[in-house]
Amino acid sequence: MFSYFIKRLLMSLLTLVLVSIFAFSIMKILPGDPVRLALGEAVPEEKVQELREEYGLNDPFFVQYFNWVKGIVTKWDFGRSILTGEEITDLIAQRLPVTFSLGLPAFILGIVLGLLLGIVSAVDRGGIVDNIVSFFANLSLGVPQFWIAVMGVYVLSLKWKLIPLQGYVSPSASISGFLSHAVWPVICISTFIFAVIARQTRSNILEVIQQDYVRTARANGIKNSSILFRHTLKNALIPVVTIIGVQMRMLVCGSIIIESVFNIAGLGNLLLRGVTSRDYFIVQACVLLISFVTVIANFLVDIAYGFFDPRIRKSWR
Amino acid sequence: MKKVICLILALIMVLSLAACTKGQGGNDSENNSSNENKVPNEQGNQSGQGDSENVDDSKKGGTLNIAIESDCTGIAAWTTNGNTTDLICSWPMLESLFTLDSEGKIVCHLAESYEADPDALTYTIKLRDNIYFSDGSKLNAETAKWNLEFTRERSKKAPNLIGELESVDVVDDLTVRLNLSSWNSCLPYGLARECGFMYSKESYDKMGEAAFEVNPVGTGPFIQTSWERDIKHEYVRNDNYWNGSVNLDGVTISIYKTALVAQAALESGEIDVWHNSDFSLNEMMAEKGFTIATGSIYNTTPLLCFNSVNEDEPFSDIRVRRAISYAIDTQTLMDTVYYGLGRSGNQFCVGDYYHTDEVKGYPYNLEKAKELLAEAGYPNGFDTTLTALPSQTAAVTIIKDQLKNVGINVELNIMELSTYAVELIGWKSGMLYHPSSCTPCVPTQLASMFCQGLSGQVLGLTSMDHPDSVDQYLKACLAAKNDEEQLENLRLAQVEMIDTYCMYVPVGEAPLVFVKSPKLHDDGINDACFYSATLATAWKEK
Repeated sequence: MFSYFIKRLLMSLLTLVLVSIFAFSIMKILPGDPVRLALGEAVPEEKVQELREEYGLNDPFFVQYFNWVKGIVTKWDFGRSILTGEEITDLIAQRLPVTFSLGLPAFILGIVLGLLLGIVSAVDRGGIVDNIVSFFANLSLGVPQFWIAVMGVYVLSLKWKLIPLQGYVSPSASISGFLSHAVWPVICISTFIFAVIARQTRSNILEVIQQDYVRTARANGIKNSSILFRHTLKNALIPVVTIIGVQMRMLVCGSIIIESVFNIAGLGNLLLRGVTSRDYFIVQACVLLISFVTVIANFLVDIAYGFFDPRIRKSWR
Repeated sequence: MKKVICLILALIMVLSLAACTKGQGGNDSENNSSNENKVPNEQGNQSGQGDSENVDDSKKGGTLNIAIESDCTGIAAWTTNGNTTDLICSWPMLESLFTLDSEGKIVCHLAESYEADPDALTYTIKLRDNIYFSDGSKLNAETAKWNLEFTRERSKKAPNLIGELESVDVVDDLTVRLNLSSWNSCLPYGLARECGFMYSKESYDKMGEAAFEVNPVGTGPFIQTSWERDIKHEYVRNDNYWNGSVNLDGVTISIYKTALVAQAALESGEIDVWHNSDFSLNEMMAEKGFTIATGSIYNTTPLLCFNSVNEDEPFSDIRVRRAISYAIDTQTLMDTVYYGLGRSGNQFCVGDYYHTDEVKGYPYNLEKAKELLAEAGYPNGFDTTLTALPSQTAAVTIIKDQLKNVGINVELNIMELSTYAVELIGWKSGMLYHPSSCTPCVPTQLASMFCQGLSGQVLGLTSMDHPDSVDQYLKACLAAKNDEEQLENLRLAQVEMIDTYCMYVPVGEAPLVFVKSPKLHDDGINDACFYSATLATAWKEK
């Protein structure tokens, strides 16, 4: 068990190092001067050079990378925005709670709905509920999030005036304000999570139901609910756990599109700002942070496998 | 059963869609009843607007809500990049020494008058006597000197706009003398935007640089109360505004990244003004009764540039460059790309002031184009490339189609900005389509692109010819001692660039667009250009 744990941990750390190199290289791979790109062509060359010097961009690649990683590891310092000079650590600290306050409810809603409706759908295979759930799951996967968000703005805000058009209110400022502003963004973010999990749960349950041990249990007269919850679900959920782990990144990066449509100052919006304004230090920091959460989530999923699957647990010994 | 359920669900979706489109003009009657209380337009420049006694109380109150696509870079002298959103976010609270009239000519604003002395290399600027910052301190010569010297040292745009400014002397309490290293007749244009903003030194000293950077204090009609980056700026009325009373209680500038949401916000009345870069939506908004403000001075002049230095290129032959100029129907191109809001042109020009009728240009003429190509040895045309940014795909696709008519096969080379920024300086072959943004001071703009001996991020630095005569006229234009001399040299430079050398095809001019609620009046937003607005006089119908 311990060696398995250490092995997974080392693999995760290696992935993080590789991701950090990749994130840092973004700036170097692209042609052109990041400072020039960020400031625009109208700003004179001497100002560009001043900033390059100030940000240490004239140092060799590995010196820059080492300084960047050292700043993060020792001081949790991601550097400063080229464009505005703001501390990126402060920006992340401001934006992460906003994204989290939308991502967490969306994540929970998506998982709960996905699991429940996936199970119901599998049990009612071919029935009305199954058809409705499958329709909405396919719709949520096929229709772009942007479209769902904008349709909500038009129908719920502009026409029916049920919710505000855009914006965000912190739950600490006003719970009702938060709920009215967050309801549609949360639903939009959760649709994709719901769709993926519902489909996966349904197909896994249907697959497991065909297994010999389920047939044997049924032949032994065990109740259907017991077969479902004690024998089927536990096995069917292993691939779903993987999916949930992958979707955990939504907690930190939310949805770039949703934050952009609803004018929410979250981490996704910050990443978008970094990309559109070519502020590569912001992009690097956001990519690293999102990757970090994804790697940690995958690590936890690997560990969680053991609890769901006795065969894996056995292999740890 | 399955089919029936699917059908019902599909029907629900169609009905939802129909709900969105139905009755969108529902508030037209509201919109059209807007002008009854409209006061006469504000005066040509922003000075001397009505005094407080004359202001109608029905115009008082309300908050002006402006939507922009992205937040500004900064509003302090040392953080601003001088881009559109930087200047928009400055409107409520910052004012400059000069401003522009509807033709693009300099008029005084915080300055009362100015005197140019080209022989002595000085500008003497007299300030108005009644100007106070929102913190109560007075704008005097000492403060103006501090501002100008600070801006010269710290502003990112200073080297371009006021690079010749060497020092500032205080002549008397309200007069400063600007000493230049070499004469620049366009310097006042630089002082009509961020380089001419006057900030309160008292507040700067009191607050410190870090606090002042995000909350600067100016002489404008509003005071910034909060700035949530990437979300919104909020301003309240400056009750001690030097130029009369202010109608609105406040201004909010919010960031709407998605055009469709901004459009919905405008329709619902959540915002009053929207800086819209999606030209396809303007016509629909106009039909719904909204005002489309393009300004008299346009902001972008797209140029089709040739690699004329490479001897192996067909473009090294002036007849080929001319043939291409004749083969492009610029009117159709501008109408299509900018949905009727662009202007075609035959010279590099922004606004009417610098326009000259002397340039003959190359009116659309396919026969002439074919004739010139045949003369140059390309009777069947040739293959070439055209480099452009993704945002210019529509324009270059039209150019590709038009050039096919004279046998020129164009391969489009669409590049992301990072690659384009490198290519812009020296593309190896073919043509490059560049949407040049520009300052209303055309001589400064042209000199920064087409003079000899330039360096850095310069259009066509190593791909385009920079003829001696063009260099000579543009430099003479900047060094001109009076307006006539400046215009005359610019005229000569334009004729050389277009008629004599055909350095590029000046496709036309495109505006910045602000979509405004018909209930908003006297705001001055984009009346001439986006540098400033008259928010002190702005008012909203209740």
